[in-house]
Amino acid sequence: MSEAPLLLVQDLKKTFVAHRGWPIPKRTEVRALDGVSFEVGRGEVLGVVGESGCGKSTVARVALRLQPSDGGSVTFDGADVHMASRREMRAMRRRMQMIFQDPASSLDGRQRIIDALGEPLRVHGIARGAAVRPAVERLLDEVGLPRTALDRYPHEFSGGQRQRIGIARALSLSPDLIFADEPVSALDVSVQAQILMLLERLRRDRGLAFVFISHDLGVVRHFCDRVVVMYLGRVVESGPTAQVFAEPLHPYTRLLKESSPEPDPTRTITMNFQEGEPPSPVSPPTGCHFHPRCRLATERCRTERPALRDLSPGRTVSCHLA
Amino acid sequence: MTQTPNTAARRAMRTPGLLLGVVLTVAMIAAALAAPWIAPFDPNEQDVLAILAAPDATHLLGADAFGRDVLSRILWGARISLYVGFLSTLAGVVAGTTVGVVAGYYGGLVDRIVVAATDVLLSFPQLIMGLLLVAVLGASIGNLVLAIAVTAAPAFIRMARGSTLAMRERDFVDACRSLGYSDLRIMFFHILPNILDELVVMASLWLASAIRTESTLAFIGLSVPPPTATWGGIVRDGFDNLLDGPWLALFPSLAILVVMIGLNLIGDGLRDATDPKGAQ
Repeated sequence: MSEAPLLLVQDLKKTFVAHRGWPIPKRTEVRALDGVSFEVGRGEVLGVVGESGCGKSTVARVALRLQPSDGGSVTFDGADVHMASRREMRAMRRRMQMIFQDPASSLDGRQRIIDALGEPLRVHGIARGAAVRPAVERLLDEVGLPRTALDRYPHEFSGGQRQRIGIARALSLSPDLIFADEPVSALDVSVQAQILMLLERLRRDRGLAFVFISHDLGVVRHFCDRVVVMYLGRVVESGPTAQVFAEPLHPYTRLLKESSPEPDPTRTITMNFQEGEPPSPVSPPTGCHFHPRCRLATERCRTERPALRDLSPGRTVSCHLA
Repeated sequence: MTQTPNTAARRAMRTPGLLLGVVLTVAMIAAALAAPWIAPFDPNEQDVLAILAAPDATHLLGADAFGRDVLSRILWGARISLYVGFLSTLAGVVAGTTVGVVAGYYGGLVDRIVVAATDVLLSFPQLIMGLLLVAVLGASIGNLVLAIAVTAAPAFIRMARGSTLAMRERDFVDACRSLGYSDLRIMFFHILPNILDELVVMASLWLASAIRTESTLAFIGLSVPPPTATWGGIVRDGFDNLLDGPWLALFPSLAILVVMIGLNLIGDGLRDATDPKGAQ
């Protein structure tokens, strides 16, 4: 990539520590992010995929500085997010927004829609007084909600409509980058398609960049330019979406691909991977995290952590055997 | 499911207990406010001829050992008792909620100190605590309010902190932060409105408790000094002549009882009305 990326995440680490037990508390560590690196270009849609518990939601929260990081850096448009002063952070917040998985929990139930969408405008001085209402009406138009929604409360809407409100709120500050954390997985399939079409249109019209976090490979294939595959807090593979799914380099990506086949009745599906849940991130396997589930695993995989290396332009993989 | 204030209000109107509680309480407050106009006598005026007079047409609720009109004293006493009760509860709720929300929101060391301090304060019985403070500070309305507020605050710290912890886990708090809202705005414009229901319910129950504490302190002589009338004080004065004039202690006790019932009905009614599980 020639120009500087919009978002650059380098070796990001986040460890959750819990003290449990009495009288001598036992300290348990969960390495949610264990050196995660990726970048997002302007107007680019990056998919982040992986099983639940692999740290994909944590990436968004740490990158947005909703939680502190324990190492590594997040650089947004040349500025370090975690080193930013309070004022710089406020300016940066306008440019990075988030869409949440559960639209019921992401809206304040005591706020009418006009207030929920008008407040960011007022706080950031984008619109004041009488100018707020028309600005919020434009946002509602953009996400396809009727203007009559303004004076109602969130609980009066369906899940899909609430997600549209959440999207409108993320758009209110005209961001350059939106983290979408499983934005459609809480919705009915028919509604999912509508929301995805809305996101697609917004991306085109506004030139938005997305970090699209999902476990649904079908959605990722459809929506994302590039994809990052995560496994237990680490990136195992990244590259252009079409290439990654056409020719996966990491055994885990192959597993994901086989467990989410493209619907084609003429092809038979063979599942030749060991069954099983991902191991607990509390005590991850040594070496390559994936080796207990990998049928190609060698002695080296069990002891040595594979580095993330470039294999061909734009494609990286973290596997000794690739 | 979250609910709008409107549906809760509508449900409240259909709760007969709540309505009765409001009527009783409002009536007592109105009587206290109107005391200068509706009290038949000066509460401190001593009438030698009326000493220990039984209830009759002149002294509707009788007169005490100094010939003072009991009805007038109860009405004037209501002003002190209700004033102290409301003000101290308000102070306790505001202070306790603020501390609780801040501790719950920030967590960490501040939170642990607050929790430890709250546990210590809660381990004192309310009355002993109030007694101790008034004894140290001296008996005046201001100190009385302070003492009762201090006994009420820990309960509100604990409740507000717990509710804030639960709210902080909700995505909308993260949404607020990613929109660049200040911590103060998030705490008091977003978290507080969402936990207000429970706080109001508890406040109405604590109000009853505060009035009772004031009366108890007055009964053992730790409230406003005589001759100023307060409910607890009137009961105590009446106790000295319990056999000659049982009405002296009976009527102020009834006044306390009515307010207790009223406020508890309000508290219970509000709890039912705001409980999402009670939604039809």
